[in-house]
Amino acid sequence: MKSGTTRIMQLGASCLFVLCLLGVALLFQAEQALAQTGNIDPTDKWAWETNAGWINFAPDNGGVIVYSDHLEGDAWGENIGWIRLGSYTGGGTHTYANTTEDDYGVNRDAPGNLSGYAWGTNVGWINFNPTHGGVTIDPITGSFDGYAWGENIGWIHFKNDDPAYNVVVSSVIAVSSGDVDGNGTVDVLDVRLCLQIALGVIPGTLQQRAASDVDSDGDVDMDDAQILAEYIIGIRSALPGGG
Amino acid sequence: MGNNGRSVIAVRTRVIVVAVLSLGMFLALTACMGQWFTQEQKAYLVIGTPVITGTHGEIIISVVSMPDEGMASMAVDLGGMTYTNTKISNIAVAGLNGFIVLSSEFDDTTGNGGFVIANANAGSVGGTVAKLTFDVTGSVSSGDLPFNAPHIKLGSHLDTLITSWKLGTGTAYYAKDATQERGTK
Repeated sequence: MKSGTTRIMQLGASCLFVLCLLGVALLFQAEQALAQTGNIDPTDKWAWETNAGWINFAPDNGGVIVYSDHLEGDAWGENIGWIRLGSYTGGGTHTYANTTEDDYGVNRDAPGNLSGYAWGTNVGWINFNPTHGGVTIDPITGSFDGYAWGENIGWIHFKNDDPAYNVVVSSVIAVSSGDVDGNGTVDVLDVRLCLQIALGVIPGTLQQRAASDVDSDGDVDMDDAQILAEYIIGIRSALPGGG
Repeated sequence: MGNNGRSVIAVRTRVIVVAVLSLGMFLALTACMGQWFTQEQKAYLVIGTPVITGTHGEIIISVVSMPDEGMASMAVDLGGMTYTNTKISNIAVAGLNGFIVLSSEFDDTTGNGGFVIANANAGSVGGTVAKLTFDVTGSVSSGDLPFNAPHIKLGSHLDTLITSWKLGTGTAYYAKDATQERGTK
């Protein structure tokens, strides 16, 4: 009887261990998938380099993440391999100094101009703000445009009509919910900006639209403006997203 | 001193008197034309005097001399306005002249209220922006519905906070109609 109970306990412990392992594995996989996905549109993810061919900004095992002030992650060139958009991986806000080999990357300013350097494992430095070129991200549409310069491969083009290709940001990560004007506080000015976006008076930038969508339903409408208004005068103690 | 010397002094005196008089006249005229006074354009948020008709009350909220292309948003924190709940109940707020109400709450149990209005298209430099309506029991005065300025935030059409303004009470400056204007003359 005693040995039977022990066996059952051992079996239970083994099952629990396996379940824990499975849980950890699933968590790891989910986090990896999130990190690999990035925030580039799954369709509009292609840039073209005359000598190196297509470069995928949302590959299966990588992905570029566009933050409000910098880029992270990896793109994949079909003939040149991985291109790292920045040495930093912490998200949030960050500015690359681009002065040392362990502090390099592509920065982004408020109007959407990119600068700094990406690193291609097989092709070296890629300058996002070269003479006679430059790359921008439209703050409203999220569309990349312009040319970067690879020291060993030449011009990389981000948008073209025929054949049509483009790299487009699908959403911007790291915005503070409700802080539509991005000044660090949520107040009556944010409510009005949210209202203006909801009514189509202004289109709003990617960041502004993301910060306005306080109910996280994917669009900016009067519900968001109302929630924000209730929050700033104390009818609500918190925003749905915890902002 | 001879006659010539006296007449020279007399002429000089007259010139000086004329010059002083001219200067005085010039100063007086320019003062009358408003050149010597820079009218201080203070921004006001005016909470109108309650207008009671039977058991129904109304208060017009208006603005005067708002900067930065006018006031475009206004938030009164919950408790930023209070009211005598034994006399006033069932308060509602409506936006005027393009202002819309985004949220409002008036608690008849505690007598606390708050609301947010905004105009998506323009700011109001001067004019009416909202109207409060309510049910009345007995006589009601402005003192029964006070606003607390530190709990009111105003935003401009240029997306800046308007920080320099004063709370005013009384008849809304821009709410006067033609009859009232004639009546005051």
